[in-house]
Amino acid sequence: MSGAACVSCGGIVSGRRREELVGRWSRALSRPATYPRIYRLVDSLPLCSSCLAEWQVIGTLICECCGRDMVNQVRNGEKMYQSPIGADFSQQERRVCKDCLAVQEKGNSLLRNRGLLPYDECGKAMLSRFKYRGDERMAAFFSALLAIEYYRSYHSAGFSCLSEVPLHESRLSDRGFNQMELVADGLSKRIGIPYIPLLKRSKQTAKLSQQRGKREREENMRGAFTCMYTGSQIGGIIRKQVREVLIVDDIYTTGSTLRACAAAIREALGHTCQVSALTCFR
Amino acid sequence: MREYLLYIKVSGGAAQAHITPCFQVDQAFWREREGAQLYVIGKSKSLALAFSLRGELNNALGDHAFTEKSVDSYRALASAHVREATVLYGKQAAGMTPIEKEWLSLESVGGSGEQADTLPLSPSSKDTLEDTDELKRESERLLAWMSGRALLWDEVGVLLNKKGWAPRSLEYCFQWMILSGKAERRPGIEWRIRRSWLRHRMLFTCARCGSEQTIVLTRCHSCRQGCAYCTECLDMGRSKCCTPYFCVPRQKASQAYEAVSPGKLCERTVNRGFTGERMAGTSYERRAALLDWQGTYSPMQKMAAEKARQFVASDRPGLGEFLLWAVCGAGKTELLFPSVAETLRAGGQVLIATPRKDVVLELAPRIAKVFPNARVIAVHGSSTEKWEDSDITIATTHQVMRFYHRFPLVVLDEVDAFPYHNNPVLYRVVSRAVQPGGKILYLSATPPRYLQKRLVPKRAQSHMHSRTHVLLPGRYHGSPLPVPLVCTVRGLHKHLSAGRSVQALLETLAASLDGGRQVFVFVPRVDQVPVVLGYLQRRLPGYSQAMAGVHAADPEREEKVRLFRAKQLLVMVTTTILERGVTIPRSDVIVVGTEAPVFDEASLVQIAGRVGRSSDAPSGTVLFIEEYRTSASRAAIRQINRMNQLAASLQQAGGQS
Repeated sequence: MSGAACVSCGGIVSGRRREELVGRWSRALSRPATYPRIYRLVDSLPLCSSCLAEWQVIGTLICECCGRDMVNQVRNGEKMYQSPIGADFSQQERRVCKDCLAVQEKGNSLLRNRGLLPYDECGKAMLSRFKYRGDERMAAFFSALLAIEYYRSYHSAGFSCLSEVPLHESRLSDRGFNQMELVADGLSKRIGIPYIPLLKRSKQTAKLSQQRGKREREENMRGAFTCMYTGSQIGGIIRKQVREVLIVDDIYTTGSTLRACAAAIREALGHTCQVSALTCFR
Repeated sequence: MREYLLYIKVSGGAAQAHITPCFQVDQAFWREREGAQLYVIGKSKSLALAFSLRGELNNALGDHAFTEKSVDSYRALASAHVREATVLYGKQAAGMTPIEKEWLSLESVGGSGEQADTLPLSPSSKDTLEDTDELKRESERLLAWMSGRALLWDEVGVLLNKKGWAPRSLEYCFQWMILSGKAERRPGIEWRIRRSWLRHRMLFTCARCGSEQTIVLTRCHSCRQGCAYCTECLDMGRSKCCTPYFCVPRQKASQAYEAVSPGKLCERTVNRGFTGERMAGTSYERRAALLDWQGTYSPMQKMAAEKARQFVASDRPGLGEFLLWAVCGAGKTELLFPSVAETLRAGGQVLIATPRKDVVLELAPRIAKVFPNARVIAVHGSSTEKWEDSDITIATTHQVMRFYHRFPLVVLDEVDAFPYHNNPVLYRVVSRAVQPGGKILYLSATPPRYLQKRLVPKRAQSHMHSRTHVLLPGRYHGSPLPVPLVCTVRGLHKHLSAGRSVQALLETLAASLDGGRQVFVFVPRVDQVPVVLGYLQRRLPGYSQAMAGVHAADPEREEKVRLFRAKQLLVMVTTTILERGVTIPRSDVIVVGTEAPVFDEASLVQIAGRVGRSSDAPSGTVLFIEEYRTSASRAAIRQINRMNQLAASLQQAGGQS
């Protein structure tokens, strides 16, 4: 990655100091078994040494459902709750945040979500450069982020396939590309899980910024997605063998999009199928 | 999703290929100019494909006379071209899969060989166009907004939104303008096929910024064809194969500019001289050209300003570029006034392009004050007056991209500074903003070598001026430039980080501070700012509160510079970001680590030029401290000495005459 421009600050990516930081981050993010892979991924990130030094990563104290970083919440005296994982999953208990507990009670089709980076100003800038400016080269960066998070949190899970959150056709033709399709494709090459576009957006929803409130978003998203597969074969995989599916998105805000996706997938593939999510930002 | 129809128009034996997104407009247009027959070749969703096919067909049509029977052969030619392009695109986009069956496709339209009136139209156009008067009016109006601009489809939308006007169909209006020859529609990325004995290739070029190396191929969901986009000018909006890019040359002003005979104007103004008198009153002078400036020129400045003005006024063909080479602190902005006034008087508009936004913001009020009747706008990324019409436009370099054949005079400030230097894109963009036959005026204290080679003739090097350049070696207050002192300190950086004494640095700094002067301390890299700052604070504890360090990414940068200007801070440790534009009246400069490659000759001359700029304190100290001897610092000193000699001889000559 040496010599390229840093995606965050525009500086030059090189130097001995960076090597040291890459090593330190890789140790922090990996177990011994995954260290070489994570090292290569972190090294491939086009971030310069000063940006890597200030890099914020979500730690290990998280809500085990939505993947939110709970360090600050716990410090401020907020409690974490015990919750059974899903209505129809093993009865093992896990620690979740208040929002997730409320969602669990209503019935949650999304098993869990994990994100690597907190959504701060810098992340906002990078994401808007990718999505709105249309810098498709950033897809490699985001897929590397997802791959790091995959090896950190989902290494032991056995996903049959991964899918992306689709765009509505009119949005897609305006924008010219689906950012998550590019990222999912890159991710599938990195981690070796086949990428199969399972979903279609059947309802056009307003832009994120134009929606008010959590409940309205949840309401809007309901039934926004449909699964494209109804036959017994899913892109070369026998449908009954699909036990766990991974969906990727750029950001988890309230989770309504991902929950709607998960609901659509489980509707089509049966409720024994578990859906997990992976996002760049949480 | 737009579809572009490709057809051949035949009238009176001459045949030409055209592209249209709305065929009924073309039908109506050609119906008005009776007798034209239209033969449809096919339609495509990719504008770049249609564009390249049009070129191919026009070539073929130029070679052979058009007959009715040959239409099929032209269709065959087109589809052969599409096939070849598809294969080449597939090779170059290895690893990607097309969205549709093929990367590129040209669909045939309905029946073949029929005439315009009976032809089945493209799907969107069920109704034929009856009322062309309305369309004409609307396209006239659109032309007025678009005149002199080059915009992508999305940017046109932004412009019209800003103006609060929406035509019934923008596409129709543009097509009408294009057919009347007043505008041009291009794909954002153009491609052509280069054939060679080894292999054929598809070459992509960005129509907006002209770069070829930075184009990335992509599967585009907008056109569902093989597409590409440019990463060089991505920040200004995505330029793709399927986005239309409209170039509209300026219409009225060019005619007006030619209408006024430049020869006459030239004679008259030469006689009047330019010592800041008011230049209004005469009936045929344009009001906007009123120059209200009370300052005076030194004899040297007067000569340089006059030369620049003569260049602007001359109507000699082939004389398009001029270099105004004036040392730091020569008063370059003031030198521009006569040239700008000259252009305004002839009815033209002026563009002043500078590399940085803060310079734009500083320059705009100054210019507005001097030209009270002219409309002056500042155009930069977050400017609100971006889309206004004006007499004088002051813009950052990237915004110049949006202008097309608009200005008879473009002034390029600080050509040697960061974005222009060695950047062919920005030069191309600037030369496109100029009207055909217009002028570019380069301003610089340290012109880059390639510009010197081009514009300073060999035999004129000892002269102050030639037809393409003028050299202004002295400052406006007449005092010579301060000559830098060089001091070589072995192990300089070790001394600094270990806190050992570097006598030259400390003594000079203490002397300046005790003399009540402010000091710039330049360091080559960002990570040396805190090192040097800490060192100085420890060594000179008496002044440690009045020291600060600044670099480009510093969030408090503007605040610190403001404090430095207000004399709250006395020592500023900085990277090269303060080498231009900052003027502090009584200040000295110390460069620590001159041997670093960031300090080249031009940069060192600029840094030395920070000192002694005001007329009440025209001298000062410039000290270069280096670890080992370097050629850059010698070259900088040589250049400064040469300028001083030239200025002295010029002054002597002036005194004698």
